[in-house]
Amino acid sequence: MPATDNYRWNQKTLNGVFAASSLILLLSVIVMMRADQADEWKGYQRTNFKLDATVRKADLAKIESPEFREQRAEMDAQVKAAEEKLAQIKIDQAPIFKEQDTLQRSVDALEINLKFKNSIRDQARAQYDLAVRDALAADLTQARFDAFRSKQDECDATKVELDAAKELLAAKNSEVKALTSEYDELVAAREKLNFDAERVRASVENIAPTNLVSSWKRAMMELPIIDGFNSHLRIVQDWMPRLSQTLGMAEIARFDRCRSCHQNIDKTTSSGGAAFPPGHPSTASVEDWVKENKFPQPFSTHPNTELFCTASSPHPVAKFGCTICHDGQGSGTSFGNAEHSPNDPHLAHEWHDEYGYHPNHFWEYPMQPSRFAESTCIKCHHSVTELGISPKFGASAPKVVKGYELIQKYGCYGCHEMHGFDGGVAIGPDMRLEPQTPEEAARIAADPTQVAGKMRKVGPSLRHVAAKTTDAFIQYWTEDPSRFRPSTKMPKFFGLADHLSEADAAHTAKFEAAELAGVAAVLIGTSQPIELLKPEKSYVANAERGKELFSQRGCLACHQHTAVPGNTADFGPNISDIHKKVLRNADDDNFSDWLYTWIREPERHHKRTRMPNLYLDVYTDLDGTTLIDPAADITAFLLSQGKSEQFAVHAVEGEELDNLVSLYLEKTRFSKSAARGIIESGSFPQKLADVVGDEQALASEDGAAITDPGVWRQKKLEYVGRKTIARYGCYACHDMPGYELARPIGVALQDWGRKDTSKLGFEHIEEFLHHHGEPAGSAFKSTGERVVAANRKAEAGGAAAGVFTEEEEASEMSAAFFYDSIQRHGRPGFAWQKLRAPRSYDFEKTETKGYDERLRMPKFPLKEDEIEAIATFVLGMVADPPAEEYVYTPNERDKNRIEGEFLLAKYNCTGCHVIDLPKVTYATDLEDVTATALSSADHQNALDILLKTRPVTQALTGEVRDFVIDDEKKSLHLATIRAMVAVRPDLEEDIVDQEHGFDLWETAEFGTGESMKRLLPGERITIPAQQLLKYEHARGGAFAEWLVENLMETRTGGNRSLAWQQSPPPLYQEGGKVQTSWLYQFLLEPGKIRHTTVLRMPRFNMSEHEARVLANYFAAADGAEFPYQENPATDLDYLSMKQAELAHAGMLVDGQSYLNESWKLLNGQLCVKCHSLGGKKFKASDPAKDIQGPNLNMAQNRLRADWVKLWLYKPSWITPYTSMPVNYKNNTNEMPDLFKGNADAHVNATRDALMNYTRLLEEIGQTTYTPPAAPAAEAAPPADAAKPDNAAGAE
Amino acid sequence: MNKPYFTAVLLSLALGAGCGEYPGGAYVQPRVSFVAADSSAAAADGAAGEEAAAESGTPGVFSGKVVLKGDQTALAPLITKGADVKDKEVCAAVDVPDERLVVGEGNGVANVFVYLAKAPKNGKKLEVPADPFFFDQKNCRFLPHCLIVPTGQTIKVLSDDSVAHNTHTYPNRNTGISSVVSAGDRVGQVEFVYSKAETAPFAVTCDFHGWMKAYHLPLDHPYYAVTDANGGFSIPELPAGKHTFVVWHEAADGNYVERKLVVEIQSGGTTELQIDYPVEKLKL
Repeated sequence: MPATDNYRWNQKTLNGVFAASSLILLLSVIVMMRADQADEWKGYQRTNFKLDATVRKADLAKIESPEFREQRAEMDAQVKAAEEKLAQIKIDQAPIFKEQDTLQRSVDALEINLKFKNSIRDQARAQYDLAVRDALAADLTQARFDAFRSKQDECDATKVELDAAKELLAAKNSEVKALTSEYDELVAAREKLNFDAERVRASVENIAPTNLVSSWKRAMMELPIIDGFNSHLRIVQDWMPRLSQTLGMAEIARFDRCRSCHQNIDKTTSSGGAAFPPGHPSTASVEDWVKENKFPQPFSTHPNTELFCTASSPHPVAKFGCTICHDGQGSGTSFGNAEHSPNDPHLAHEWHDEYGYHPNHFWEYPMQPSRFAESTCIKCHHSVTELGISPKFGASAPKVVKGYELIQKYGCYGCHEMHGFDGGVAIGPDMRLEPQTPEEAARIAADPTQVAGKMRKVGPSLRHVAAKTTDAFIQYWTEDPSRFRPSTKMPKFFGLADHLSEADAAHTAKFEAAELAGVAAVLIGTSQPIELLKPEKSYVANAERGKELFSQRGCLACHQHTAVPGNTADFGPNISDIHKKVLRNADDDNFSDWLYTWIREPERHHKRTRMPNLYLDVYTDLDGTTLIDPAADITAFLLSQGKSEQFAVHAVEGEELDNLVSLYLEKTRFSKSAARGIIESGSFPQKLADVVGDEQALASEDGAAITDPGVWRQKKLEYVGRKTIARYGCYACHDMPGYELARPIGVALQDWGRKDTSKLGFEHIEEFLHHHGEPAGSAFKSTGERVVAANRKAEAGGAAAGVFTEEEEASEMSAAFFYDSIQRHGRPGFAWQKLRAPRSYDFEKTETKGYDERLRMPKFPLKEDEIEAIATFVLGMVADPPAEEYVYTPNERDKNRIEGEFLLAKYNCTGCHVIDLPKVTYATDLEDVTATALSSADHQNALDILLKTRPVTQALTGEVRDFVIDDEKKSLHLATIRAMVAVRPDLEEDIVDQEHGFDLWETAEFGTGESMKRLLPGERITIPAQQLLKYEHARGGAFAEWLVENLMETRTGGNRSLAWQQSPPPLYQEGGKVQTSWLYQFLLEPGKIRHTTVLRMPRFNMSEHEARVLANYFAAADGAEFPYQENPATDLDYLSMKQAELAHAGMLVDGQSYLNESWKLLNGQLCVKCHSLGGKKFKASDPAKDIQGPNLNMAQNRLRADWVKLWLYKPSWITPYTSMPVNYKNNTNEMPDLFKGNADAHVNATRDALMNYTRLLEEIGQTTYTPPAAPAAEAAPPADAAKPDNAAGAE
Repeated sequence: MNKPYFTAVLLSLALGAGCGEYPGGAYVQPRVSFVAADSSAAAADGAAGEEAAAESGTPGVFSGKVVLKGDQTALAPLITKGADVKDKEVCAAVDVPDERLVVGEGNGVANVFVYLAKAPKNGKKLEVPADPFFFDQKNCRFLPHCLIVPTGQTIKVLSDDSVAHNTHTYPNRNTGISSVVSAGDRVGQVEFVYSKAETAPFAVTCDFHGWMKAYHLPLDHPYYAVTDANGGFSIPELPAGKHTFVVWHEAADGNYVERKLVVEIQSGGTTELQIDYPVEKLKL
């Protein structure tokens, strides 16, 4: 039987199966398409189109204001009237229009005619060309040429006719135009008026069409399949092939689709602000968002568009994408796929309800929650400093910088190396200790693949500790440093027993007592001798004077002391209690040679100390006979605060000491019984010379048993002490003899941000936090309880509902976040608890661990917000730098600036010096602002130099606010100036009469264009108290400001200018003032410059490299030339040019030499009044009152030529408080025998004499110059017969 | 106390060393009739510190005397003739008196500023002289020592010394100046104007010669006086009614002898008042 369709399958069944499967297929296609249509990003884009249309409509409404409408209606009416008028004209002047019409027609007809004729001519030309090609007979060719000619003639004739007709038409047209011009112009004007509105209307029409066809077309473009053809709904993808990412094991290019939803992320307004400022609008309607100008995610613009996303910012989104900074899954196009991370568990809960959020363990690097947003900055910004301070962007990542600074402050890198280099290539921030020995430094310098660390150990040196303090104090202090000094940075290693059972804690305490005694024994035992300085035998130290010197010689720039209140410096320790701990002289309980030596010459105690040498040399008092030893007086003052204290220490139980010794011996190579044998016999089985390691402490030189129990006990203590020091890594922070080459004991952190979480030892921490974890006295029994309460309060509405204060919400939800992170075994949670209670990870682990295997990390006195900042920094340490072009590589100037900033902090330069001036924001009536007028004594040249070399800023902020002054409402402009406090308000006056006085330090322009008013530096600005809106403190100089107030009280009789002259000078625009080469030398070996100051620039233990960077810093920051400067005034070409120029002008006669005459001028009557110069000493009348300027021999190497000139012209433009007067007034003709008395030439000559000082002193030597007697003036009578007119002044 | 010396100082004051002897801005012809008025009583009247609205009426005169209560020896000269100081040929050519406290007849204190804290609303307008005021110096001493000047009047600085000086002003509300004054400048090349009134006198110094000091006070009303050599003062044409005066002296602790002295000026007459200056208030 032949096979049929039914042979194998039942056709009917088959049909059924096919039908069903095609139906299923169709359905699944529909379902797929539906799902595709319902993609989250499409919904956001649709909403965004609505939003966009609303914004544009709002723009349109703004353009079409009532005034605009009125104007447009008026214009419509005008057009209409003109139209009617035109219609009448067309009737009245009908012939003209008719003629124009006829002419137009004839021109048109002629044009067509000409076209025809031209084509006939072209055909004739082609015929002729063919004849030439085919080499036809000459006559035939000629005939064709003639035919062409005749056609050409016809064309020409028609062309002539056409031109004539056109001319007629043009004439007629202009006649008509004159008639219609009014109407035409009006129509054009109306179009112009409508242009903006029409443009916006067109753009609205484009995205939200009102016309049926367009909206149908737009709807069609969103349909499945059709939407593949350039639909307005589309994925936006940023493709960064050089910014690779690691997915699994593969390194692939990065592509981010975040902008598919975050469509407005880089949109700015025309003035540069965010076009869609982020916020939480009150409703879900886009109209309300626009009204409130607050836009929810994902519709808002990125914060700080100056810095991020926009094309003009340093991080344009098209180049950087999003995930390089935010992490997360760039390819995700839904909320979940993008791997958003909530900032706290409560937000996670909300997200769960709103977006179906759940944490995804399978994506390695989910987005950073906003609390860690800054952590990724350090991927590219390895110097970190620029994130904290930048002239253009300010503090762009303050939290990560805070973390960085805390790590520097507490010296975490002592134990946890953060190696910023991999084979010499930068991979992240570099925080490592500097080489500890010269040999190590030399080895690193010789190896091109190595870069030396630059951090100093943060603790004091213990090399000579026996000279400084006692065994008991070392034990007392080490046990709990904050007990003695609450503000100490030193962490707590001992007594951390919160995680231990009572019995364990008690036993641990016994071990720790032995360890503390051991550590002290080692420190005292190995302390090296130091030759201490002593004051002169006969010297009687004066504590009272010591207090004054302590206040005024700079100690308070770093330290606090309760005896001199009002100071907040914390760079060095608070030394209020130093008298309790310092070892006093055996023969004099009121003095300490160690303290005297430390104050006078700190580097004698520690070569790398951060304490500078303050040049506290012995000097003679103003009376010329009394010797003063400031270091001795200060020592006496500090010790006079009380008696030295006897510190209680724990008794060491012999049995526990032996147990510890045994424990450590067993860890080496001894059996339990051998160890016991050693302990009991006092005999170590080897001679000292044969032992390596800590066991040396137990061995004797000859190998004999130690029989004296006291000596043996001491040996055992030392052994335990050495083991303890090694275990806790005390040398990470302290310089200690014998530990110079010891390595850091902690985990390296350079890639901790990517550390595999399975390698983190969470142990029983969840259990611990469930029952414990909060300090004694806390409102909660455990951290778990605290977090439950926090989440409950957040649920109830948080700070917005008044359940929390803002601060509480921040801190409690932060705790909730980290607690949650611990539950999920996340890195943030681990780090958080590690810093809060480092030993808590030993909870219920100590039972199964040896004592020496217990956790060693100490507890630092950190607050929770500080812990979060440190976590932000450490989580950003990923050692995974992007391609080179993405890593922040500053130019030379910025590099010096950034490295210099680091050094300013390292040496606390800002403790004394104002680096940037205070900013004062106030409200001012522009009419009352009086521009600084140049007087007849001022020089135009000076103004030119001022404007060229020093910054000019716009004072007006652009903001205007209403004030009520004298019961009158006034709109005042807000202005911000850089100015120093000059007059404080008189608090005895009524508030309405109180005024602040400021001295302007910069050139400030109020307004622009013709109405601009320019105030020059030195101007006194008086601001009524009620109009002073904001005072931002100077950057740095807190001590100088404190000292100024102190000196006003104690020395200058309230004169603030004189007090400033006696204090550390502000370094505003210092780069433009001093030569970098001089500053470099000065930083290494600061000489005395000012005679007026009560203190001197101290000498820091700075490396040459650091001095160079810091010298360059000022020039780099102030936009001045660096690293080297020319000194044009010493240039021979310049000098001969000057010679010729002045000779030509008749200012040098009879072969006078320019420099010789300049030298005379410098040595004349003026400079010598206040300066020592040219071999002549400054003559003091009353050393207490006289103002002596710096010695002028320094100027040539110290100062920049332009600066000196400006300084000579107008000193108060540079330093408003100076006592240096204007010496060469433009309106005088003094010393007419020198350069014809020309004041401008005098300034120049004085500058050049200063700049050629050494040369002139050598070539000419001492000169005394007296100007010829001035002819008796007749303008005013002598003083004792003054004009009676003066009485006008009184009445 | 060295009596002959004291007498010599007094003599020198009487002979023209005092500020009031200088016919300058501070000079007020003393027209003081001594009355045993109790200044505290007058002050208590206006203890509330509120200035009553001046009554309408003929303006009156406020005159009186500032009297030091207690014993105070005269101050030694700042520079004695021939002392070894900077520019001694000029500066130590004569004794330079210490003008912080100059006491005249009847213990009257010279150089005390007496002025209205604020211009009264119904007062006469300030007339600003078109001519400059000449602020002079001789033998390294400013002349006058105390000066009240109308705002807006140009001040020209003169010098009768053959050495250069420097004039450095320390105002609170105006921008200060610091400029060299040429030796023997009788023209006044250094000139300046105080455009704003100040609330208290301020120092003017010479940075070359540390002891040189004068006091200036620009005011925007005409109601002021500086006491003469014998402590007398007179302020004419005051609108009748209560006024608050400031009594300021450089050697007073905190500078104010009376910070808010309320005085009722009688219509058309002369209101006389002795202002006591207890010696305990001195801070020398």
